[in-house]
Amino acid sequence: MERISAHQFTMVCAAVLLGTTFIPIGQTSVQVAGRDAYMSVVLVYGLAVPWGLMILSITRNHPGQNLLEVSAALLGKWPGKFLALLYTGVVGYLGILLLARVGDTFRRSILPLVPTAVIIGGMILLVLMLAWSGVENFARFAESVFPLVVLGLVFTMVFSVPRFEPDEYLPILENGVMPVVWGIAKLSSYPMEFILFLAGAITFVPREEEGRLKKGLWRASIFVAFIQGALTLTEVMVFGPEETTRLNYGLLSLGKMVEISRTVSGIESLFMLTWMGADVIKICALFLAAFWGIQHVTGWKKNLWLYFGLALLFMVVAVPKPGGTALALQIQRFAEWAVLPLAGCWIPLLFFLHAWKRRRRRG
Amino acid sequence: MRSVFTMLKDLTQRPKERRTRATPPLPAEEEWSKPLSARKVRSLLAKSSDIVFREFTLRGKEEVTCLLVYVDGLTDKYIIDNYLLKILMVDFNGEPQLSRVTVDNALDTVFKFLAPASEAKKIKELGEALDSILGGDAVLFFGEYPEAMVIGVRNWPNRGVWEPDTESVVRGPREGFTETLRTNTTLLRRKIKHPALRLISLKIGELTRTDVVVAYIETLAKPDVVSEVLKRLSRIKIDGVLESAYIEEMIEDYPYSPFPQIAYTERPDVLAADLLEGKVGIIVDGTPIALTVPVVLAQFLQVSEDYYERAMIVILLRFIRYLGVAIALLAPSIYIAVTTFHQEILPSNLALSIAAGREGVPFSALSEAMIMTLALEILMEAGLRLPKPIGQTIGIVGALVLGDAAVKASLVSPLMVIIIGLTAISGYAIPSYDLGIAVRLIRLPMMILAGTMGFFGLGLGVYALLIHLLSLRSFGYPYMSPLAPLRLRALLQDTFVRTPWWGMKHRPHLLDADRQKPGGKR
Repeated sequence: MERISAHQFTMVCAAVLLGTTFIPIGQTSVQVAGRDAYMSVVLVYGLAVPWGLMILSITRNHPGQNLLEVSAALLGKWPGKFLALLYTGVVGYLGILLLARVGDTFRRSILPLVPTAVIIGGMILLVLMLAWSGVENFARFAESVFPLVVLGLVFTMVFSVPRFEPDEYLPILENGVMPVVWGIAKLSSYPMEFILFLAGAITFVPREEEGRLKKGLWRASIFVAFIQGALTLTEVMVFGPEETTRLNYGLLSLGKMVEISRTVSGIESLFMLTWMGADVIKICALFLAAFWGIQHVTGWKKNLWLYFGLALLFMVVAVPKPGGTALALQIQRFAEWAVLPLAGCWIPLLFFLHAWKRRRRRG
Repeated sequence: MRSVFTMLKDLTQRPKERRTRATPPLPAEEEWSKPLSARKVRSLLAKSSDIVFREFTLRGKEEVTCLLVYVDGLTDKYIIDNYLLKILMVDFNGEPQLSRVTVDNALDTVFKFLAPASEAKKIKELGEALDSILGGDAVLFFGEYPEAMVIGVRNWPNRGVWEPDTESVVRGPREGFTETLRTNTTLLRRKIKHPALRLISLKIGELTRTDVVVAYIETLAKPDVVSEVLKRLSRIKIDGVLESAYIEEMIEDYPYSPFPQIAYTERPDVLAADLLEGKVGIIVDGTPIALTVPVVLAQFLQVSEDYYERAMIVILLRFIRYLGVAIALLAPSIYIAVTTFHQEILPSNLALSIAAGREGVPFSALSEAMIMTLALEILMEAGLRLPKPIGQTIGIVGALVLGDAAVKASLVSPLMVIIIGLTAISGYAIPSYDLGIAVRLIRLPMMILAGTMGFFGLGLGVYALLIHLLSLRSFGYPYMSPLAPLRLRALLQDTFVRTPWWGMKHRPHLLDADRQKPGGKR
């Protein structure tokens, strides 16, 4: 059985929680919360903590089992299978949509002449290679690449400082608190994507270090909230709220505007390499989650052909997807209408059922 | 298709079973464990012209016909003549010590009273006798008595203890291993004078019967690593071991990876330092190259001098080496990607300057770089095997004359010559030859990826390489440690930087997490 360390758990949490949400977060949050969107962004990642703690609590008495197996144990075999099927569909399709977005971002930003199928094919090969090498290796990959992604984001933000227009930031809370609240509601699917992954990956964490796991979850959430909030604020201060709403990939536009000492002018293409690492982490996390779901439904063991088939399915569905705003909207709607309800209801339901059963057993 | 998957599997997962070459059993092998007999030894070795069979008689209570067998050229004849034959045939013949000698007690009497040799032992098996004779010792048989006596008289012409050409240092010891195993273990023992240093002997190679010594410090090396090394060595089935590379390939974890998974050295101080870090050394007779396991990637970017110079200098030198790897691996690919796909990354002045240089060049940046890289590889290979003065001339002719001519003929752009030159020089900043070869090997696919898909292709290559490196293990230890899995203490103590000796309070985290190093300040 593969195991990851408590430190790797923290890094995986942070890497998957951040995922690739830094690309659309500016546009999505500002659409609802206006110039105060950064407050929504900072607060929304706090949701990962209670949901994560619920998962840790539920699985404490079921060592070596993921949430799908615990669901089957608590709800019965067939409801468990149905949930696993739903889980597989949701995480798998989200992975496919994110894969399609990788093709779209590269084609629209730096590789307009390279066919999307080639970009998606290359990406899924990387995902396949990483997933096949195991969860332990996935954690090491996250451990190595996540700091680079953060460095890339910080670098982009720091080099955008000369373009800051402080007027765009003020007045604070000009429309009251409600837009911030609606912003939280709008963005709440982002931490839930991570929660769905955690539900499957919980079997690989060192349960004997419960305290460090909880601390790691807190740290990851706070760190990601801070980074994402700063990024949203940067986009607002550079472009203003109206322009941020209009820009599909605001972060890439920020990168385009950077010039370093007359030697490197647009770091967008350079930093696409770093964002690519974040893409690999997020899509691989969803790929693995989809595989765990399939494994639970069918009972199949880890098999290269199965991985290959799943990767092929990801690619075949992702290639014909439309790009641009249509794809961004599709991802947003899917996250809001599928990811959020599944993670938002399933985990609290299991938590309360688990607590009730335990109390009844004690009574 | 299946073989592609098998290869992919091997690249990412550690094979469970070590591959060994099956050798059909040799006729002599069956005789190996049979009881000892002088007649049998004579019949097995008689056809070799370098084997000397010297018969003489001991005159005691009974006359005992003795047979001394040794290999001419591997033994010290002076010792045999003056300290063995002279004593047995002249000095003591007919003396009281021999007066009670019979066939049955001749061995004991000679062993106890008449053989002034510090290295002597009794043997009972045919295999032991053959090993001893062919290894350079003399074996003395007493009639057809089923035991014999081995006398250590090994002596053959060998190279002196010189500074190795491949690992020369500005500051540090000037001695290097030789082709003689015992000299090498002596050099090691001189460095570590502690009873915890263990030297376990093995014989590998069904025909060469090569002596191999596994060296480790019992209190530092992890028992599971030592047992794994011994297990893998004992599983090797091969006709001959002429160099430690044979063993390296047989025991490494991932045979299809271009990256070295076992370190080697010609320097006793380096091997001693590795053993002090809890690693296991493998010394092979007939080669000055000793192996050490387990290893991590960072180790291939360190040299012995890192520990003989002051820490501040070492930090700079290590930074240069890491930079060297990055340039050697990626510089041509980045140039290709930028000039072919991502001109927007360059400010206008720089872009115009590069475009002016490329004006009139008929090839794409990828073809240009491939031609130049291949030419460079041919030059390097040609210069390597030639005598030094000719090799240098080839290098100068190739680099200066051909490069200049190619630029003047507009076959390549001047910037490309600079990039490839820089790449070659950076490659030499990599201290490990094996890692340098791996970088050269990976550079070509990287260039193709960058030339066909720009930075996306480069990203594919870099991440695939990272995934591969992360999945490697050397005798159970992650190859990318202490970076992933992160070991912060080891990372800050002795990886990218080196803490001064007084600050190294702990042994490397990789192998021994908790032990305090006796050198550090408390």
